Amino acid sequence: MTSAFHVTLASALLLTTGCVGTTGGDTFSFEAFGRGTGTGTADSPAVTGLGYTLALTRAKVHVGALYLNRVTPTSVSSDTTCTLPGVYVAEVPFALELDALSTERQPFPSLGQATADLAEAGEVWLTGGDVNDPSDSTIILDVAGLAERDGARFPFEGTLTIGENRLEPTPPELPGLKPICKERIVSPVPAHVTPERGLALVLSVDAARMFSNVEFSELAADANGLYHFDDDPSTATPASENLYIGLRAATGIYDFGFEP
Amino acid sequence: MHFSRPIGSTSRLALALGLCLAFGSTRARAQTVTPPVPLDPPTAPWPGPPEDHDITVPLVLTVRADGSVSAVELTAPGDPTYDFAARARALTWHFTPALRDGVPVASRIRSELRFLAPAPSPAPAPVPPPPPPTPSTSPTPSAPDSDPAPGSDPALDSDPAPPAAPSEVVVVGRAPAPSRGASDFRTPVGALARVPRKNATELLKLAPGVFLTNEGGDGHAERIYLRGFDAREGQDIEATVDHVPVNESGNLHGNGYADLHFIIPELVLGLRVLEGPFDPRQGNYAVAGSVDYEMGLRERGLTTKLTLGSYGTQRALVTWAPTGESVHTYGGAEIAQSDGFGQNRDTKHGGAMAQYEGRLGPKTTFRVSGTAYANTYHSAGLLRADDVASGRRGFYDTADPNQGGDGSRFQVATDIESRAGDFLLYQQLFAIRRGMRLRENFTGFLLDSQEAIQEPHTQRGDLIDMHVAESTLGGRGWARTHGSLFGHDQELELGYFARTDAVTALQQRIAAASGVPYRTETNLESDLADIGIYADIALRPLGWLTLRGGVRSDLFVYDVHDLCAVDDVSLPSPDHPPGDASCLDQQRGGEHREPDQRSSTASTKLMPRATLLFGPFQHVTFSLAYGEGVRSIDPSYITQDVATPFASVVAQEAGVAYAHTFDTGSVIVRSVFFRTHVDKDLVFSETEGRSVLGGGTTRTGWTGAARFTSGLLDENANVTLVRSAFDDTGLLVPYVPDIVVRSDTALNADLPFAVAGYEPHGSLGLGASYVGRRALPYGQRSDTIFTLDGSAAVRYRMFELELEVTNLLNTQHKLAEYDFVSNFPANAGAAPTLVPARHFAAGPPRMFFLSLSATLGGS
Repeated sequence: MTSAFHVTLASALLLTTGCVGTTGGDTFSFEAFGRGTGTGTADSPAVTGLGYTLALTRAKVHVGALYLNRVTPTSVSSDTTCTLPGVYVAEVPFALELDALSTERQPFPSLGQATADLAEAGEVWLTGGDVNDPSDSTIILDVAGLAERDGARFPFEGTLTIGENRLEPTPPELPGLKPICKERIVSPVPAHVTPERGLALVLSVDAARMFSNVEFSELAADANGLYHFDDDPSTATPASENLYIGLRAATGIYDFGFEP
Repeated sequence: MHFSRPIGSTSRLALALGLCLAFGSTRARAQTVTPPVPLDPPTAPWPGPPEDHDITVPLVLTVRADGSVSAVELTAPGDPTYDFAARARALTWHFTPALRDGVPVASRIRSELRFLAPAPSPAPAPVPPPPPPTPSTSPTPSAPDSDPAPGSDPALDSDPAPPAAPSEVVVVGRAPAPSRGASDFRTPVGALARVPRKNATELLKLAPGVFLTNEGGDGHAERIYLRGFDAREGQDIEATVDHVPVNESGNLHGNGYADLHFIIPELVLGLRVLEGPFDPRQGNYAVAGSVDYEMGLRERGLTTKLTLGSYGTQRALVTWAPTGESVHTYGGAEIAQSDGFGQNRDTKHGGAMAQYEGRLGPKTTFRVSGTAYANTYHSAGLLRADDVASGRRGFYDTADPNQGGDGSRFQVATDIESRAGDFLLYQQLFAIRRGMRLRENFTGFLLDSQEAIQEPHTQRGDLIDMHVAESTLGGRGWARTHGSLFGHDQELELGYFARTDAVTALQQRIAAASGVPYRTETNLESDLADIGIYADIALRPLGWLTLRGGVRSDLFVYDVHDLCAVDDVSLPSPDHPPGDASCLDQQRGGEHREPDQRSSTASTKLMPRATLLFGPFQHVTFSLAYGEGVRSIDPSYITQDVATPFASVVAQEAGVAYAHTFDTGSVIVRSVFFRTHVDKDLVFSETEGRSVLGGGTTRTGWTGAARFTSGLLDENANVTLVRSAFDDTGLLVPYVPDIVVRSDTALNADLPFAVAGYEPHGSLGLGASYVGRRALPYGQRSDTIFTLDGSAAVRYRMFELELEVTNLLNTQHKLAEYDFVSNFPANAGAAPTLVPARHFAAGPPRMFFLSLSATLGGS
């Protein structure tokens, strides 16, 4: 090899190796927002699955955090871990008190972080603190409104928490079978989004659809005729439990999207 | 060098022999050997009345590394009077010692002493014209049969004829390993010891393409990047010290973990760094290459060195090296401590290394050595970059102050090298006891998953508490012979390597709140064996062509006793629920089983290796090399009777080297193009706290290196460009630097003034490093790194005062950068961070170190 040959090859290598190439992908920060869908309000009442016409006057959801994951788990029935087994591609580990009746974008307090990978599953963390700590009693859902069916009117309100009240009994040999985190994390929310630099993550919450299977007539009314949802599963009516189920439904309630 | 043959009696031939011993010669030596140069005239006063003719006494002299003569042999005893006088005179001679790659070594040379007859006053016969005058101590060699200047009294001549050059040079010392081409770097430290280095590992930077990081603390082995490889803490680079292995087989933190901190830097004579698996002597872990530290001490006498420096750094070093003994006979011990820069970087360590090299007759040398070392330290670990950017943590802070470790190493070794006829025999035995505890937390509060059998819990903390204890016994040996064929010298070497390791490895997770272990993840007792044999030939069909290579085969045997074989059960016994215990004694349905299980397996690997050398042509040698290497795997991967999944490497390279010795110095310049492929590369897993097996990778690149050595200047510089990519995707391998530039410079000179009749000696050292922006996961790039380290020293008689400044520019740089998932919450209720984020280990800021040393005795 001549010197000229070496110089040429070295120059070529310098060009081809000197900070050229990539490990693939991207990582960046992004803004995150929550908003309601605008349905189920007085202006745009919704009809529930049980035939109630629903007009919400208050629907606040405490969102503890958002996550997007590459993988949709095939089965989580026996899984006791809080998080999904795949790789997370986006996160907004900050809380937002979301007014689900407003279609305005409501910003999360800090920027989220993402990698530019396709996400197939989302998580909505409904927690006010440590997702593993049962003692947290943050109000996760605060709703009020009017449901009508066949001329019957059901003005209602209710709050739901996810804490010790949601702990389920377990066999003594499997004390960790049903950790509280599994109650607090709505997962897997179907998603097929790829974070892109410059776009914002928007979580849309359709609060009205939480009431799809709520039989308002099962609720107890107070002296003022106001119906209440019960936050204690041990005494709650099926209507209250169905609202809780609706709050935690992985499909139909929550939707992830990246928008300009 | 025992294989040197007499090739002549003239200085020209002697010089040729020296060049033959140098890199790129027809003997394919990579080393530069310079014969000793006499400083005294080879004459002596007549013991009695002078004769009317010269009397010549042929001698074989043994010249020490300090240039003095330690032994005189009479090759043709004659008149005892003259023999006695000649021997007495020769013992007073001084030489510039023989140099092997710039390092003084003991040597044996043929010479002769003359009693010169007085010139006859009347000249009946024609007298040749006198030669031009020469300096009184000219090292210019002359033929031994050259005549003295006529008309002078040779016995009393103050300006004598030039001394006789040796007709044969036999360097006394160990036969070096034959060269394997342009990537076989034999690097004497020499004057470059003046360049500041934190420890002996940093001497690796004298070889091209080496970049070191350390996120584990001062007592933790450096992470070594070598020519496009992330060799981790030794998993991909075979490290030895005078052939004694350093890599720890079965170390849970990384199979092959090599902590070189036990090496006292002042006791390192040089390194052989072979970048690639091209030598059949290279064994396990020689994937990226290998390094062998040659230990010794040139500074003879008793030396004490005290150092004080920034951040409470204190170090005391004592060394001793008896005058007249081999440079490989030495002792040294040190104790050091530092508070460390920033948070949680305090360290203490102490160590001792000693060796005696003796001779058993003229053809046999032996060495006995011992090493002791212990350390304790804390580590800052890695910081999330977003924590620093937000001001939550400072650049030199720590995210978990419980990180750190302890370590110890005790070893003894002995070897013997002997020449018997045409055979060169070598045998070494070693015994090593190594202990290590390591506490690291890369991920914060992330990995404590809830199991159904466990009581409900929050994240308790990911701090790993790992302990490894290892006892190693082993040996290596070879026999080399040679013979003439095709009119050239041919060589054959057969050798073996064997080691057994008894290893206990325990890894637990520590609860941050209480500091107690809450989970045992791994608990292994392993008996490991590695036996390798090889054949290595050197064929020289032509004077300018050498094919050197052979084949090596290694057998790896694993016997692993897993003391924690079961850590979960899907249907536990209702009567005896396992609870939070880690190592369970029941299986599905609650059926009893013992918590341990043993697995054993074995595998072999055959590895051809060859180097083709062309030249030298005008001091230029071309080389082509091919080799395969292997890295055994972690015992935790062992499954009964399933062949161990080796990681294999195939390396090819083409190189050229220019080596030449001038009157004023020597120069070696190299250029190497290389390509290496690994079928199962290791990928760092922050969740495991260690590297795990990944896919195949390929590296292509170029290395350029140069070394210029003279009495005034010693310069070693190198550049490496490399592209490392995954085979399946073509994407870059993360963390590996693609541009590494390094320069080490030392200047030495007597200062131009005298104090009390003695000229102080001054020296300067400068080390410059540039590392390009390394590829990080998710298409990211790290920052570049550029650092300068300098030193200045003045030596006056027995004292030396040295000031070292590291990171002269005080650049705030990130030494190591990683992208991975961690969760160090700002408060107890914060939602976890689950997306990969940038983490880094801070490089040290500018630091000052002042050392005062004193040497008693010596030469």
